[in-house]
Amino acid sequence: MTPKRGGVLHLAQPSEIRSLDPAIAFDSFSIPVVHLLFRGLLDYDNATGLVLDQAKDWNISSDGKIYTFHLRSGVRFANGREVEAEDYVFAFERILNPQTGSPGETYFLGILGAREFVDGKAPHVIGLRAPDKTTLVIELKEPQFTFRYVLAMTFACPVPREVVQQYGTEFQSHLVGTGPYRLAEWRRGISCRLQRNTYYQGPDGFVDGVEIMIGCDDTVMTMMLERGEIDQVPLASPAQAARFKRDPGLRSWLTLVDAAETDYFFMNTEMKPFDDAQVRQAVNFAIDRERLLKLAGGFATVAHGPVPPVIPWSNPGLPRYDFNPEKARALLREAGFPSGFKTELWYSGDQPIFARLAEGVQQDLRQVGIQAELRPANFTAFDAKVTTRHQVPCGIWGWFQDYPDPSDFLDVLLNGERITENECNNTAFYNNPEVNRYLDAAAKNLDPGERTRLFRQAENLIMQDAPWAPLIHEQIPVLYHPRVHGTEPHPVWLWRYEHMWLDP
Amino acid sequence: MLNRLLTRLFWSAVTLLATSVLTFFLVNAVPGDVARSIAGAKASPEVLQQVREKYHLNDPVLVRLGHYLVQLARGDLGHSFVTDQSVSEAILTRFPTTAALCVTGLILWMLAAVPLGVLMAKFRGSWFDRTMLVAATLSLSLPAFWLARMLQYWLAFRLGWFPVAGFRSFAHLLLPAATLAIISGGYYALLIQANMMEVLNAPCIAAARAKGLSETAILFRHALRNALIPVVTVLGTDVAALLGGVIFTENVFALPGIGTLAVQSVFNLDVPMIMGTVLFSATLVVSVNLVVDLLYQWIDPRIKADY
Repeated sequence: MTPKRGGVLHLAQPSEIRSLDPAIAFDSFSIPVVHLLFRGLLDYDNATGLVLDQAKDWNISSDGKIYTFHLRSGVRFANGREVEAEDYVFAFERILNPQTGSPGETYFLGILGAREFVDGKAPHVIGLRAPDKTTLVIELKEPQFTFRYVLAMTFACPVPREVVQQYGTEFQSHLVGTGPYRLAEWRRGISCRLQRNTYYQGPDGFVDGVEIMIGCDDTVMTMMLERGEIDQVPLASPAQAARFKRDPGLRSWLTLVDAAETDYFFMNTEMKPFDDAQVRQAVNFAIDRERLLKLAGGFATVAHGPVPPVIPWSNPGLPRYDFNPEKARALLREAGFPSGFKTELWYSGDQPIFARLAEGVQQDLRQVGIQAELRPANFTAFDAKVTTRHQVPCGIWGWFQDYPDPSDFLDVLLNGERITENECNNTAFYNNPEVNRYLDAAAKNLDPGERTRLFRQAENLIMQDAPWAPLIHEQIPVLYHPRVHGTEPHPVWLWRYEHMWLDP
Repeated sequence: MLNRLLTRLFWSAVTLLATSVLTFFLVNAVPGDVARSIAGAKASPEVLQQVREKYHLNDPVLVRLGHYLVQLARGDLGHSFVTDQSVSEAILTRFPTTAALCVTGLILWMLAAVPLGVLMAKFRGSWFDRTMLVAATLSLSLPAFWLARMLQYWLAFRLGWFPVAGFRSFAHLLLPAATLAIISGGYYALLIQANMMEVLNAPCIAAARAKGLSETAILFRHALRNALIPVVTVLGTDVAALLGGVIFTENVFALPGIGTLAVQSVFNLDVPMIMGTVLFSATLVVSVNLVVDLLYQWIDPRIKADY
């Protein structure tokens, strides 16, 4: 069908849009909306391939350190002012400025001079240059393959310096970007209305406007969808999704988005008894992942490794831990725990899926003699506890990709060189120097084939050492009214409002 | 009289201060790293440090309380941890919705409760009285969230007579207001009935009958006016209960009022917003009670003797 222009897309979200400022927004509800207002140098095709967006060409120097972009001519902000390369320099420095409080700061620290700028030792980032109005040069300290993905994140969108300086922290109420839509009205915590940006010249944006109602629970959103009051229910609960899946009249309303995420059971390799690899392997054999799928409402796939299959990645030699309680008991006996042991299993009680997984894992572990006492906590308490060294023996957590590359899981979550005393994402505190070497080499290597080899070697070692028991990769159930088209799921953006169009 | 008013104002201020301090300690007792909650799990140490400095999170809790109270004395409720929006602005933006809901609910429940109470008193002991007694008792026992969901499901979703949720027009207020009217209307109908029974036996009503006034005039012009006096006091003390009902009703119908703001703030552990909504609600309850106390002296001259 040929997409048609016109109409207003009515959306609803369960919680407040935290921010629509591209330097700040970083949650799954805000980012698809930010992508309507702001666009940058690169975007994704229908999968995980990078395509040019507001740049007309780009090249990376042979040493992998210098990225040069030439901007398309005639690209304008929603206030009519033409975008210049300096706007990108300003936007990147704004993210690096600690005063901004951007959660994206770490992604830009690979730029030459970024650390000095963050520490207040330099007024500008020397690795960011705009030799003329349409040329942007970014120089990195050392080669970093994944930096190209950073440039496709919404953090990397240009913002007009004069508007940011005029409004300061209030910029987020006066947003001006280069996307297909502009902010018409934002009643914080209540509703948000976007209108077409008449200066946008790209191919996206079929509907004339987007209206977002904020603060509806899942049940209300589903009723509103069925009554035709809204067009989408993002992240429907498994119970609602199951109802739509069962009902032949409603089945076509349901879309499952394979999320690039992994829910996993981590074991603190610095704490007894999980400092013993045989114990960790025993846990891996003890868990019935097929049963966990049922506990997840059927909207998930089994995880055999840390990296989700949505990322273009395969590792045929990956050691697998199929459900085998006998083998688990034997390994426990060998490790000196013939009667099992007692431990505490921590999880965030705010997320129902983690509660169900925790109960499932607890039951499986009990079958092999491991008595795991459940320790639910609210997310902030859980987060503070599990990211601090020597605090939590084991627990359940999930990680959602920032960009579609194995390093976002293996390097960020399992590289021992990233271990810190507090706020450590390596919650297993797993440190294998050989794995670290592979991961460090892959980070700097620019050859995709060689990177794949390095990541496979690292992942194989990780699974042998078993600091995690990978559990499931979630699928996100999304409901759409039949009048909406262009709802194909996307592995990075999840859904793309700019591609959606409505029946007349 | 002036002394009495000043004393009441003083104790109202003490109540609000105690509420602020208690709420402050309660929300700060929740374990966890608020900076990580604000900046996200992937924030760098520099950003986390910036957040901690901005919100004084490194300071001891008593120092933070001091900061908060000084800020409060300046009339500043602070900024949301989550959205950086001014708490006062958030409350003022949402208060009209809550006020509209309460006023519509109040009108609906008085429209139902007054005639019902009067007729139950008039037809005391009849099948009508007994049926209404059962209905009123039932309405008293209904949890607001359950009733709201039932009305929403049947009248809005299944029958399509009303919008399901949100607030784009007056029609969006009707079902939420009806929820409040039903849970409160029964109690007020019984209260009016009891008062009417008492008033109808008073000598003044016998005198009115002796003068040959019509029964309608006696019921609605003479008896009802007197019977409504205690209702005003109960209404005043009921504001807190009403706000409780409003929180559930607003959340079920996704009405952007103070109730939804309060619940969202709790889920987000947004300390300034939680403090702001609690303090605002406490101020509302204390103010209404004060006004009702003063009004009551004016409505019922007999009370003045006590002052």
